[in-house]
Amino acid sequence: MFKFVVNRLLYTVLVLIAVGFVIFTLLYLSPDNPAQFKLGNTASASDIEYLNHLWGLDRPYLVQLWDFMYHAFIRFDFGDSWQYSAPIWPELFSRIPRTLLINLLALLMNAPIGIFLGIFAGLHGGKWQDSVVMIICMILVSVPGFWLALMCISLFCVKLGWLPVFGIETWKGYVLPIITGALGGIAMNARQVRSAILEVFREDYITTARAKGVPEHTVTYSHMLPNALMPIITSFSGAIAHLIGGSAITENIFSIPGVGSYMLTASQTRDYPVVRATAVFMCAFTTLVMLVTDLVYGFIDPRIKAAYASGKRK
Amino acid sequence: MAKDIKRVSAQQRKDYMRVYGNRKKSSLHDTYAEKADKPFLEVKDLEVIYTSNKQIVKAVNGVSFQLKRGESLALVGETGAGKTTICRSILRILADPPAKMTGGDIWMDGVNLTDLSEEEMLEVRGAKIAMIFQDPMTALNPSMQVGKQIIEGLMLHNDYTPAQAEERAKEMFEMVGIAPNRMVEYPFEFSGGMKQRVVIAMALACNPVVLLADEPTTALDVTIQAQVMDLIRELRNKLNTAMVLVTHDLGVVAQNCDNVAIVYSGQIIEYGSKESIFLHPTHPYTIGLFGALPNMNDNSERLTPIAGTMPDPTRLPDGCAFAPRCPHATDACRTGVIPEKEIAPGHKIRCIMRDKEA
Amino acid sequence: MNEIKTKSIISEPQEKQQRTSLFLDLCKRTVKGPGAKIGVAILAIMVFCIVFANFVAPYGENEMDLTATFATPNAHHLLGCDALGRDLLSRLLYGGRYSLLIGVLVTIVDTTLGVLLGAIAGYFGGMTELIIMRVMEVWQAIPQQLLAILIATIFGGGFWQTVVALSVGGIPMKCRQTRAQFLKESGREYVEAAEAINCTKLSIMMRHIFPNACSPIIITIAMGIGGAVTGAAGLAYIGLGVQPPTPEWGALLNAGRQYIRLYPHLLLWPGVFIAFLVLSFNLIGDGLRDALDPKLRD
Repeated sequence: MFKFVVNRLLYTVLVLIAVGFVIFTLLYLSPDNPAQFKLGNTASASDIEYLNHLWGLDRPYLVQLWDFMYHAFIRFDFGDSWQYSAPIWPELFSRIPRTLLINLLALLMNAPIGIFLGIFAGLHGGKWQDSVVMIICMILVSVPGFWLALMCISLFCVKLGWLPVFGIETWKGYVLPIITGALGGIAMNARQVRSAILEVFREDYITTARAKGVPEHTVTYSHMLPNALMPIITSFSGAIAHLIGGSAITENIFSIPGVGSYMLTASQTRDYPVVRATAVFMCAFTTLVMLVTDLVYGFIDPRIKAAYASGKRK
Repeated sequence: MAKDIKRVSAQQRKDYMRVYGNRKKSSLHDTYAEKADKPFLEVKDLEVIYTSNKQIVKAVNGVSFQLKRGESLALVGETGAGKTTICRSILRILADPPAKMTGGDIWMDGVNLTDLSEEEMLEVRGAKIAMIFQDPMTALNPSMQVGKQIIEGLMLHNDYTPAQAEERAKEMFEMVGIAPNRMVEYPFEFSGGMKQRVVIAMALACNPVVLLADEPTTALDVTIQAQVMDLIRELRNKLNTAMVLVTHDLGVVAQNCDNVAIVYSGQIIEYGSKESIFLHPTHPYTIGLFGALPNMNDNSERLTPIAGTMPDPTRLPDGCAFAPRCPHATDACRTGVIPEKEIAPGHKIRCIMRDKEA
Repeated sequence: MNEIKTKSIISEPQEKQQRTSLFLDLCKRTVKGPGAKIGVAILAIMVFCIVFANFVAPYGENEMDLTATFATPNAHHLLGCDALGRDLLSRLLYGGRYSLLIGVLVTIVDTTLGVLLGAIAGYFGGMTELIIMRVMEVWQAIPQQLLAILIATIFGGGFWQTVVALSVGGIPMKCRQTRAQFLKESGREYVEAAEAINCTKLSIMMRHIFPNACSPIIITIAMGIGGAVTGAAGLAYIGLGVQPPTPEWGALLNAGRQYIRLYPHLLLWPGVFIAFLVLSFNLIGDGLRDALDPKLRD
């Protein structure tokens, strides 16, 4: 089991290195000229050449790639921002907690609420409670999250004035980003849990348990839910990818100085070291959450657990 | 969790006392022994309907039979005749909706099971009446150790401490021929035959007085089939358990059963002792069933199948359900209700034509 | 168990009586529930209005009425007007062409590539599968929207760039799904039978396995169009997608964002249109799932 965890960790590191390679190469392929962007249209050719040399852009692809990979993955140094000529790390470091706070809280919110709603709907399958929950979830799944955020701002911040329109000076600034971020995930989780429960409902082993004389609530809690909820854990990796991927838009809407908005501003000014650093950070975070969900799933699903154990035996 | 189960079982024991009066558990078997010659389980005029797509399907239509202690009855019939439904309604574990028991009584040891509350019924399920299911592949909870699945039932119905329950589960495992150290394994680590052994161990763990075996061998290989049936017979002899065996296999019936009920479209159309049914099959359908069985002593090249299929259960014909396929059917067969007639002691049929001949 | 068997007996004679094509049968079963009926109705109305925007829209795509700038919804302009006095409803209807087209194109591109890669990986197995699946795992480690933002950054905003940016991120999921289906199906006896009569690999993959493996893919396609429309709107909103003055729905949101305090109706309606389009696809997707999933089929 220990060996498996180590293997899985090593594998994650490899995936991350490959991701770094992909991100670097994608940005290398860009036809834009970053120096031109910084200096404006009136810049002289020699100035542009000077900047390109300063940033090392006149070197061959492989040399640039090695330079980036070496610094990013071995020395954990993403270099300086081209736009501000200042090291990226301190800036990134001050922004990470905000992004993490919003996304992790949204994730922590959508898991229990989504699962609870799903169980509620599933156990009332076909009755009106089920229909109400499912209609709400259907609407939440269909409405674009960022638009919902805009509408919430318009209602709660502009019209009612309950919350600040932007900024995170007080805790109130975090309320809407977290809630609007979680809503989509809650709906998605609820739908998945419900269909999993409806599927388990028909399984023969539920009848077996009833035939043993197991009371109905024990049937629900110790036979139905464990089997229905196990696959749900994997859906967390999807939810976190969705949240992190959407954080650029969320932070843009709520004017939160987080990693996503850092990336967005940098991408508008073609500040590639910053884009690379933020993108690698977001992928690393996503991959780590996926790793954790994978391991947790492995520990609680006997089938996968046994596969680990037998792998160790061999 | 263990605490939880214990509390529940204490509650159930109270319910149990209410149902069975002040008799002590240990004396129960003596009581059964006294009543050995009386019918122990009696199903009277059972009726079950299914509602599907707003249509009502009569799955079981006035079925009655009796079972004495230690005796065994075979329910034989085609797929969809309502055999499984009969078993499930005895345990009251029909999937509701769509199925619903609309009439009839089920008496067990002087108690009408249909009158019991859901909590009282819990004490009957698994403890007094146990069931073996058709498909061992899906009958076990995939995320629970097989041992725990047996222990769960034991803890519910007995005063065991967890250690005693585990001891008893080990015994059961040994009894069905599985090494007790495999108790901590999960169902996916077992083969189909082994799983069915686990299911049998689970059903017999609480020494039930009635065993409902719903095609226990259909999903298994032929060689395993024989082993499983031998196992069930052996355990029944040890525990003196009565059995209702659902099967298509007349060979299994011949080896395991005392009485036979032929089920067709939710009705018992012929009922009698194994000998009388095997030697004197009377209903045209029963004769057809035996005609569909290969006979080694006979040199005929072809088997004679029964022509046609079972009637659409949503549109059962008037009169005899078998009439559309019956070679002897007359107009009289297609009207009214066909009454049950005793043509020999203990041998009953629902057929007016054969009835006259006899 | 009994119930299922009983029903199969019921349905047999009916199937013999009226032999409908599989496709028609699927359509019929899909719209059985009320949800899918509503979805089809919404989609039909929206597609009709968008396709025939020339006739349906009350004003032209770029027709300006400077007397009506920022008009709130009224009798002349049902949904109001924008900063240049252009009728919002008309722009939404014309803009729907871009949004819908992006949704459909993205889904076609990522499904084609994803299914192809997944089918190759699932059927051939071995080294081919290993390489494809490793690449997909790396690919999937980059969240879809992040990848879209990166690609849009590199190639700039615009209609085709948006299509590329969004479809690239959708490939791994479709690929993994197809592979899983192909793995499951290629072990079945009918594949062995086809191999035994010397069918070519291509014909086995396309004519034998694919029809049996495609149910979950069809469902993802239905849901995917809606997802792509949302994704395109999100990109356009942050200025990396289709650029104003093109009336793509996200671009309309982008154009309206600065007026959130004074004229929220400029932000309200594009979102409502997106939500209804996505809702219709999701409802149809749910209907398809109920119709195609044998586990849920009675």
